[in-house]
Formats: sequence, structure tokens, C-alpha cells
Amino acid sequence: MKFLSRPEELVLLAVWRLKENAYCVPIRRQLVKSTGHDWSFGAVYDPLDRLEKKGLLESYLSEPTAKRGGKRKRIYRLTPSGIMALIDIKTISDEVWEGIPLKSLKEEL
Amino acid sequence: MTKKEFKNPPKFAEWILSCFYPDRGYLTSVADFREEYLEVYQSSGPFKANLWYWKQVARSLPGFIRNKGHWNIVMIDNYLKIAIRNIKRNKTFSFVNMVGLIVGMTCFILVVLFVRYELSYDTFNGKADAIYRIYAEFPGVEHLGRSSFGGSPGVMAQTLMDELPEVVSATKIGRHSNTLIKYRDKAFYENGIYADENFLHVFTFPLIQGDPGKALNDPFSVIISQTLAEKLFDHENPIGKTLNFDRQFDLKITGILKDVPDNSHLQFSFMVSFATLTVNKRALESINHWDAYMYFTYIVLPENYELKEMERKISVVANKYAREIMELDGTIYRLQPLKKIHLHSNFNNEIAVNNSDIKYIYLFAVLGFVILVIACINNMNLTTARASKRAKEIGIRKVIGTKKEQLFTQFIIESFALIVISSFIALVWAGCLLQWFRGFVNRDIEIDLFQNMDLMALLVGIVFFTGLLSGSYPALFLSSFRPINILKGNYNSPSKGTKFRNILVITQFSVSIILIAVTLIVFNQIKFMMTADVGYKKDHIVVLKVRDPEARQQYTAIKYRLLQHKNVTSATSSSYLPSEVLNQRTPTIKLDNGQEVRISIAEVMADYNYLDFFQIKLIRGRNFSKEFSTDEKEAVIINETAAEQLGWEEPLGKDFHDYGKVIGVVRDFHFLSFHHRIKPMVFKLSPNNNFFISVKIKSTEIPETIAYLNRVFDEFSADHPFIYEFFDELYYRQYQSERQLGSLLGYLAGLSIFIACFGSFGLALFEAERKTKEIGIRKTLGASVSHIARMLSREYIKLFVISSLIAYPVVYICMTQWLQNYAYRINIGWLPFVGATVIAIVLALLTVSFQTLRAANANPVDFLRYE
Repeated sequence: MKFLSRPEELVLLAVWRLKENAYCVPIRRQLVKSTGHDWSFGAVYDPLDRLEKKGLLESYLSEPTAKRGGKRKRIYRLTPSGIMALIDIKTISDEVWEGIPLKSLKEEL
Repeated sequence: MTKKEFKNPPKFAEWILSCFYPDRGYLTSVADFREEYLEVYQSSGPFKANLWYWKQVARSLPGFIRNKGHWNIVMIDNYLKIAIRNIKRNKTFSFVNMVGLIVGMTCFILVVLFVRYELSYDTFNGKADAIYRIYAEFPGVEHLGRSSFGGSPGVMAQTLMDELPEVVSATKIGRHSNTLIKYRDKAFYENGIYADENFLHVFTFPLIQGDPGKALNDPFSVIISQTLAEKLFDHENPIGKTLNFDRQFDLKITGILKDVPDNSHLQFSFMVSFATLTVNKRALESINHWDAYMYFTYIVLPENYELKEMERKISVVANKYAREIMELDGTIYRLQPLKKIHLHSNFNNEIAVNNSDIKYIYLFAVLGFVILVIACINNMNLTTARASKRAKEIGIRKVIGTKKEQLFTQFIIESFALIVISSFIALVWAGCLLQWFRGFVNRDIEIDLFQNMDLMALLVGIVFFTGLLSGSYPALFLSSFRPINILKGNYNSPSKGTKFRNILVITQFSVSIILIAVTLIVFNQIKFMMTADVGYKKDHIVVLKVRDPEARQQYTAIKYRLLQHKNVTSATSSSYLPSEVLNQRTPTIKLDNGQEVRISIAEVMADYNYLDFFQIKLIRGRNFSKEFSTDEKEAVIINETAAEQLGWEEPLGKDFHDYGKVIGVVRDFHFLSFHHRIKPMVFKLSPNNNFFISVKIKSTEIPETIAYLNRVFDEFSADHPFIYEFFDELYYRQYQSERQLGSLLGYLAGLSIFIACFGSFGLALFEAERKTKEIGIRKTLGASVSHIARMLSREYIKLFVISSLIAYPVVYICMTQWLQNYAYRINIGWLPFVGATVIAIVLALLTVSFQTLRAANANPVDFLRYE
């Protein structure tokens, strides 16, 4: 399979974590919280669009809410191949990181 | 904060974002921003939230440019390159196309400038939207076709301020025109006004010197304009100086006014304090009379005040003070917004002639637009006609993967390139023609692009509009070619687009024929009015205007002196000239059956020889005569219409109110312009004290004679400038607006046919090119040159017939309507219609024939060999 870019990976994971509530606003918050960077909306839309094009995500529109000025939310969820991709990522990175403790990396600084 | 109070982000920012993130129609991304915004708003307040939002906009920008803009820019660069190359390669095409566009746009820019100027009248006033003028309407007194008076009583302003608290402010002004102003040895005639102390608060006329709060408070104070101040005083400070007005009053200068802008309906070079007027007892009386509608009242109302309501209140107040007069005159007071006065008001007794009419503005705007559209049609036609030349390029582009929208963009950009270039040239042209144009419309119009951003925006708007209008159809047409057909090499669908092109050509020529026919009819009517028998003679007559009341009294002596010159054959005096009798009386007259009626009648004070002088024909009774000493007191001469309206079979000897007895009847003559029916009129004998002295002179040595008249005039009225006019010129001036309309239509008709012919020239060019093979084959088979030429022109004749059929009814309906304005008018007849078609056909065929003949004359071998 093709490798995903790092932002794509993070977004994909965030969508999986948020389950039913996976639309742009919480996704962005999730990313900000876990990476400590201030992600712009554009930086979230881009990977979302790409992932959707690759068929790893699918999206649907929720009912409009007053809080959003009567606009709908675009809610994302993983497709089976999206879950496959997550599994791949997890497997690969676990394998790559095998036996490397964080402590020894920090010591080299 | 309760949950329901949702705050919205800045609208503009939100709009930008919605452009950056087009979201398949649901705008979910903008809603994402809004949700986050709300979060920030609740935690850090509105300022931080807005800041955050704008930051988001800024952060979204680079991505947007990267994603969307970059490739577009690269492509636009390419499109422009191709466009410029195409313009260069097809010189004839570009030239024909651009000339049309330049002419059309120049014309439209000038029209826009003019319309904009006309609409700008009085807008410089800070309170322009809140100021209203009170005018008086008299139902049932429709003399001269107008039943409204621009004026109102002098007491109105103060009374309304006292009685109605909702009237924010009110001011009254009075006429003070043609005033002789003297300072030491300098004297000028100037037009000014009386203005009360509120005037400078209501209107925005800034003072350069003097205190606007006090300058008009005291009697005998005057504010003069900067120009007048410069004329009267070279380097002295004018403040505090004394000017002599009309040899009667000495007024002290209390302020200097910045010159009144040209786009003000009030035009004056000085303002005399209203208090000056009230010192005079007779004037004070006229101010306090509720039936003297000779002052002008302007009031300031609160915003959005209901006008009808105010009108009702005013009439309540007027009824309270002057019930009898209101009932007798049947007066209805109405309000008119300040900004409408210039274009919508043409009442009796206006403070100044509003020589503009909203109808003409509309006409002007529409015609300017039509010319632009004709130019756009040229561009459309030429571009589509040339399609076959671009077909291969389009095919290749499509095969490589260009989308239809991209091709559309490309051709739109090509149109724009042409139009932008044309519009720059048009702007330069407009600048060059401005001087002439100012004289033509008699307005002081400026092109000051950098000071008027709105004008700049307007011009950009015109460019965009023209680009879209003329570019969209060809772009749509060209981008929809099917590449497979083109590249297989069988792109030769001559019928493709021809139908639409023909419709466009028909539109162009219909418009041209309409304009030509309308012009011809207007010219006919003007010619009729200029040459028709009006019932009096107007040649070789010089008219002197006597402003000086003392000189008027010395008429007999003046006349004696005038007649001493060998070139002066006769002289007469009158209160009005026979071409324009404007005053109206309403005497009560006893009819034969004993009934008394009030009749509205025009009245002229005349010398004994008035009728002979103007050769007005007497059909009954006798003229005024010195043999009857009673004539001066109790004799009147009436016209046929008066006799008829009063039902007098035998008018002679009848009592005419307290004017006297009827001694004669004159044949009807046109004492008003041809707009109006001939109305009843009455002559009274009164040689002295008349405004006009008319002098009949021989047609030789005219300058010397005029100089003599001047000398005589100066003997009697040295202080007043000598003002003379030729009677026939004065007569023609009555129809100035018609003549202006006529020449305007003439120009526009000329332009439209010019552009249309230019367009058909271009079309013929491509037509001939496309039919090259056909012409070659026909010629080898033995067709003659004239046969070929006829074949190529036949199409055009067909288009002309259709255009004419469309144009005729339009012209007929419009012009019948227009001629209703004239009580005496021409029959339209068939000549203008046929004339218009013939002119259009001849001009178009002349331009086209150049091309067709060239095609027909060419050697067929040259065409056929290239196969």
C-alpha cells in the first residue's frame, strides 16, 4: 500500500478516535491538543479531502444546528480500507520502533 | 451569556472565507469557522474573537493562492500572450473590431459623465436628503399646460417654524435677478437672491470670509461671491465695503461666498439679507400676503418623515391663517425633494429655468447604452465569424485536455484584452472630446478620475460589462466545438452560428434605422416650426430690452431719436413680443346671455403701430388710432379665439371687463410656441412703460445701425448696459431643446450606422473569404462579376428588409407619442421611413461592396489552385 503523509496519519487517527463526532472542529482541537501546534482549518481540510479521495474516509452531512448559523456539519467516518490503513500504520510503526526506548533517544541530545 | 445569543463573525471576513473554501454548496467549512469563533467569543470576548477570525482569513490566503491561483495565473499569462498575438496577426479584424468598440465606448463614457452630472445636482448640500421645497398647485388653472407654481408666500417659512415643531428648519428666498451692482467706477449686471438668516444653515454654501451665523441678520447687508468680489475689488478687502444696488440701495458686504457650484439649481452671485426687503413697506406687504406666491420656501424635515402627512399639516396651517385665499385660489401646497428640483420640476415661476428633463436624461442614457450594445454586437459577430480560423487551435487544446470552462475563460480573456485596450483609447478620446461635449450639452463636466473613485469604479464597471456582454457568446460558441470534428478536418459548417449572427445584424440595423427615421421626423418637425406661418413677421427686427424704468417713460423721445437714422424704418414698444406672450389675466366678462364668466387670457400692452409693425392681420374693426382719444383708456383688440370662446358673433363694441370696449379682432397668430394651442388674447394700448422696444432695420450696414441704437440707448439710460437681440434668433431659441434633441439624435444615428456598417464590413470580409472556393468555381463556370457581387449582397438586402419591418412600427409608435407634445405638428408620412432604410442600405452596401467587388474581381485561379 501507499504510505500516508504524517498529517494524514494524524487526521485519520483523530477521526477514528472521535467516532460519531468526527467533524472538522473537534478534529482540529484533537490535533492541536495532541501535537501542541496551532493547526489552521486549511491544514485539516487538506488531508481530510485527500483521505476521502483515497477512499479511506467517507463523509455525510448532519442536520443543521443553530450554533453553526443553521449550517450542517460534514461528519467523517472510516471506511473499511481506512481501518485497514490504520492497522497497517500501527503495525509498521510498532515494528519500526521495536526496542527503542524514548529514554535512550533523549540521552543522545 | 444565554445559549441563544449567538454572535456572528464579521460578515465580510466570512464572505472571503466562503470564497476560499467552496464546500459543495453546504458551506460546512464556513460553519466550522463560525463554531470555533463562538467558542473564542465566549472565552475571550468579541475583540479577540474577531481578531482570531481575521487571522484565520489571513492564514487561509496562502493556501488558497497555492491551490487555486497559481495555475490560473500561469494559464492567464498564456491566454494573454495568445490574445495579443491574435490581435497582431489579424490586423484588419482587430482594427474593425476596435474602431467599433472605441466609438461605442467613447460615446457611452460621455453619456455616463453627463448623466452622472445631471444626477449630481444639489447633492453637495450636507442636508440634501432632508431639504424639501414647498410649491403651490392650482387645480383647474392649467394655462400654459402647467398648473403648479414653484413659489410660495413669504410668510410660509416663519409660520411653519412657529406652528410645526417637526419642521427642523425653514428658509425663504426671493429673486433679485438682473441687478445693477456699482462700486466706484465699476458696474455689472448680476443675478442674486434675497436670503434669510436661516439660509446658510439649511444649504451648504461655505463662506470664505464672514460669519455664516450673522452675515445675513441685519438689513442692508450682502454676501457676494468670490468671483464677483474679484471683479469689483482688485486687492482690497471687500468686507465692510459698500455696494450700490440698482441705484437705490447701498448695501454693506458682510461676507464672501465660495462660488456656487454649477450643479446647484440655485445660481446666484450675491445674497442680500431678507431683512433688507422688509424695510420696504410695499415689499413687506407682499411678503405677508398669503396669495403672493413669489418667494421660495425650503424646509428641513426629520429623516423618513412622511411627505403626505407634512403636506396635510402645511395646508392645515395655511387654512388657519388664510382660509379665504386658500378657498379662492384652490391652492394645494406640496413638497418636492431638493434633489428632484433640477430634473423633475418645470413649474411656472421657477427661481431658475431648469432646462433639464428627466425624460431626456433617460433617453440619453438609453441611446448611449444602445450604441455600446451595437459595438458589442460587432465584436460578437466578428469573433464568431472568425471561428473557423481558430478551430484547429481549439481542437488541439481540447485534445490535450483543456476543459470547456478553461476555453471559455480563454476567449473571455481575449475579448477583455481587446476591450481594455479599446477602453483606454476611448478614455483618451473622451478626454479630447470633452471640451466640445461640454458646449454641446451646456454643462461644466469634468473627468477627474483620481478624485472621484466612484467614476473610476464606474469605468471599470463599463469595461467589465462590455467584456462580458460581447465576450460571453463567442466564448460559449467557440468552446463548445467538438474536437473530433475539427481535427478530422471537416470543420466547415457555414450555417453554424449564422442564424444568431443574422439576428444580431438585424438588431444593429433595426436600431440604426430607428434612429435615422426618428432623426428625420424630429428634423421635419423642427423645420416645420421654423418655417411655418406664425401669423407675424420676424425678419430684420432688433429687440431692445429696457430695464431702466425711467427710460421706459421716455419711450416717445427714444422712438423719435431712433427713427432719425436712415436705416431704421420703424419702431414699436410692447410688454411682450408676439412670439412669447407669457402673462395671463383672468378677467370676468359678461356674455351675451347676461352670464358672467372668468376667462384666462393673455394680455399685451402695445404701441399704436404694434399690429402693423409685426404685420399681424386685423380681420374686423379697426386698429388703435390717435384720432380716438379714448383708445388709450378704454379700447381693446382681441384675437379670434377670444371672440370664439366668449361666443361673440359680433365682438365689436362689446364690454371687455373694465379694460374697455372691443374695437377690433385680429387673426389668430402663434403667440406661444407650437407646443401650445392658440389661446385667447387681448391687446391694450399703452405705448409707454414697456419692456421691449422693437426696431425694424434695413438689411444693409447692420453693425453701424446697431451702433447707432446703442448710442441712442445710452443717451437715455447710460447706467444700464445696452442689451439687444435679433427677433428671429429669439424666436428660434424657443425651440432650442428640440434642436438640441435633433442634433443629439443626429449624432447618435450617425454613430450607430457607422458602427453597424463597420461591423458588416468585417462580416463581409469573412463571408467572402469563406466563400472563396464557391466564388472561384462559379467564375470558372462563367458567372459575371456583377452576378457574384449580387450574390454576396443579396443576403444583406434580406436583412435590411427584416430590420425595416421591425423598425417601422417602433418609430411610428414613439414618434406619434412624441408629436403629441405639439399642438401644431407635422404628419409623419412615409418619407422618413423609406428615407431611413435607403440611407442605411446605401451606406452599408457601400462599405460592403468594397469587399464583395474585390472578391468578385479576383482571379479564380488563385483561389482554386491552393487545393
